Amino acid sequence: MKPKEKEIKKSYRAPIGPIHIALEEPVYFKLDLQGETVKGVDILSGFVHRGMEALVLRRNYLQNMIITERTCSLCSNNHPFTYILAVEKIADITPPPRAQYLRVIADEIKRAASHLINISLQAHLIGFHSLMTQTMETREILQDIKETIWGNRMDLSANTIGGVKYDLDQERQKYLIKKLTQIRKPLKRVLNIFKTNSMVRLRTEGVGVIPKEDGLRLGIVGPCARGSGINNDIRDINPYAAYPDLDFEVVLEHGCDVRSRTLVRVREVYQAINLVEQCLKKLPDGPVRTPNLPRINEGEGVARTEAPRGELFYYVKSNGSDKPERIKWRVPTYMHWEALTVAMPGNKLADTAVIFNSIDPCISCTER
Amino acid sequence: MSASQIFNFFICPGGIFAIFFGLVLVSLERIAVARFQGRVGPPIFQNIFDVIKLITKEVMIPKDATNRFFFLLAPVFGFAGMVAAVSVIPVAGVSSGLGANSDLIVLIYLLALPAVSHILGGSSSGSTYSAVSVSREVVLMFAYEITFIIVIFTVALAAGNGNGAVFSLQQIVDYQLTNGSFISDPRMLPALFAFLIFMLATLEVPPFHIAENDADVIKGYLMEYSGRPLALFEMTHALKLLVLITVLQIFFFPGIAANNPVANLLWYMFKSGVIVFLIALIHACMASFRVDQAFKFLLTVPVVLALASLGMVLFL
Amino acid sequence: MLLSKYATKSPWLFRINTGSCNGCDVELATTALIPRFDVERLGCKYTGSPKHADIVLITGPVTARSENYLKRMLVEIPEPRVIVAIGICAISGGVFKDSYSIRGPVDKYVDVDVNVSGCPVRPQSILDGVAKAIEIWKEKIEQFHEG
Repeated sequence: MKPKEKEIKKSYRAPIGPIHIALEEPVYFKLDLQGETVKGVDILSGFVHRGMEALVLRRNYLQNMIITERTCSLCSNNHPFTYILAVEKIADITPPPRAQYLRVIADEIKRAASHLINISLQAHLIGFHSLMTQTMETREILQDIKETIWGNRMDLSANTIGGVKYDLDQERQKYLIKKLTQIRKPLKRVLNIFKTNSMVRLRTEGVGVIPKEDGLRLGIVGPCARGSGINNDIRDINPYAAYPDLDFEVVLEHGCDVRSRTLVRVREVYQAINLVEQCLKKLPDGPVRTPNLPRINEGEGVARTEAPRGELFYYVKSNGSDKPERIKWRVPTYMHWEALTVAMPGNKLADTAVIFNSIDPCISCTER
Repeated sequence: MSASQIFNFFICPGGIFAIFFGLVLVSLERIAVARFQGRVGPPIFQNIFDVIKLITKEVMIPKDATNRFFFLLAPVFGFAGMVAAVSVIPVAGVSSGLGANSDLIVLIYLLALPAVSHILGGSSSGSTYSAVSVSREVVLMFAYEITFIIVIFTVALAAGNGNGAVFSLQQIVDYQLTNGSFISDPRMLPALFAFLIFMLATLEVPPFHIAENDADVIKGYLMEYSGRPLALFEMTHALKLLVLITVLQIFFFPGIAANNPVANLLWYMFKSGVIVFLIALIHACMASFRVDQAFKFLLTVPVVLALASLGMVLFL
Repeated sequence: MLLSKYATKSPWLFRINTGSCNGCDVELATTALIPRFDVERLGCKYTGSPKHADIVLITGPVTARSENYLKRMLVEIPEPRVIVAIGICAISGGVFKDSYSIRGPVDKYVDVDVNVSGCPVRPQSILDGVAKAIEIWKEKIEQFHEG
């Protein structure tokens, strides 16, 4: 046994991935380890590169709503949504007010579901399997809502150029309110465990620290930034759709570690439910989309929204034909990868998966 | 060897019965955890099906295995150790084990064999995950074996009742059958808790799900195994669970139901089921430590508990 | 055959993501983890090691970069095994079909036994697909031990 142990003492490289049970998606880490401590991290990517930025140029504006939705299933509402906002800017279309509220509802339901899957995976990675199953079961109520109202458990196809594709009649509103009251109780129970359980604290406190200065330097966004005390919630600083009329406070935590990022997500799930309820109360009457098919003139448009993982940015350039000339999008996870080189070194190997999950990685967004 | 000893070794309570019952206990634990989580869980014979399945599979030896011979020998090593352990330990009112005078000492060695076989197999399979997992197993082994040895001395001294230590399992059982179980002795309660923590650590259930933690080392030392060698590991794990549960009963509550071996066997099975249920409860409501946290915990809490018992047994 | 009857009660699942949009993967996780679906009642267990796999669930349209990893993984999975293509991307390439970086679909690399369609697939269809895979697996075990 002795030679083997000596070998382990020395610095060595451990591969994580690309196909690894702890990772939802293929990405390849090379960790420089000394014993169990991580010294450096190297990320090899490109496993999910499907050439989407080239694909969108071959399809027309309406088809692109479908293909941008397939960028990533967890933020599948935000991709077409942001794309549509950019196209609407070019075409100078203002969707009717009812559509603005309905867009927020779809957005917030997706956000809550995405956050829940992330914190449930975190429970899995710290070895708390019961908590994971219960969080997933709670999320399943949101999945039911999605399937009933939009007809798919993941891809909602809620938005279209000039409005939305769905409407909430009285019956569906009642159903939505019923389900949202139903989710509060199990949600509170599950989320309290994340807040108070000592084992969960032991595994997440002080792990994967991204200090505020580093956060600002690296330009991290979304719940990661808010976990480090940086407010860059696009819904707040550059509101879109119906967000200007809604009443909410940006969630901020100052711990900078995995735990604060989790707590931000936990509190944002509540926030999302509150926002949906507010929307339902204020929902104005009227049409849900502009009547005619859009005509997209020559021009450029830029839009940003707050996806579950942070700021999502779309640039669309049109040359007057039915196909775009260029679409470029920047996704939140891209900045977070660089943040991993700050967060990971000095932590234990056992924590790498937890830290990686805490930035809520979306490889398929990043590599497209 | 007499006919009854051969029967005990091959059929019951050792050999076939032990493997069968051990596998059922593992499934029982899975079912209990599933039920605690609100799931249905696998069928009761699931782990037996698993073993049958693994026998039908192709055996693969990794190309970069550092030592093919040890790679294939390792599972046999642990399995043989556990089969031997099952035949050594007595089941109260059913069989008296090997009846050797110092079988408790033998047990210390035999119980370390599964971990040694993990280390042997993991380190010869040439996978990074296995290597990390093995280093963790070694670290944990250092920590939990201390507790085990202190508990053994405590029990041996308590069974000696002032006349030195008793290292015969059968005599420990007999002492408790005449003088009452140790579980009703307040001096022994800390040792009981220490032993439970030791059990969780050796069985690698949460909070000690570390050496084969899915999140970073995937399957750890079992990563490169497939087919029959893996089946042996599965059976070894089942036997280890059974041995630990039996030892727990011998140490703390060997009480018998009647003067009838069959009734005693059923009583023993029932008690084992309850213990598995307890393990499942802890499994279901705990997160896992990190290896450094677990090492610290194992070196303090159970050791202090066990020492408290030892002190009380010696001086009270 | 008795052996295959009992052996098929213990299918261990292994998931390979070849560049999917993670929708199918999330649904696979959902199927495995949540009490409502619970694949463990079929005896299924997710495993992280390809060497333990019986039923291989492949998602994604096989991107250029993951092609080699897919090939390497497939070599490591012992026989008898069943390959299940999960989601429309794995079956035909889906919306990504004519992209420059897509080398799939999966059946170019390995004989797919079961196709589970959907974008993303629903947990119910995954369970159905696993049940069908178990039937095919039974035949495969018998063939494997005869020849």
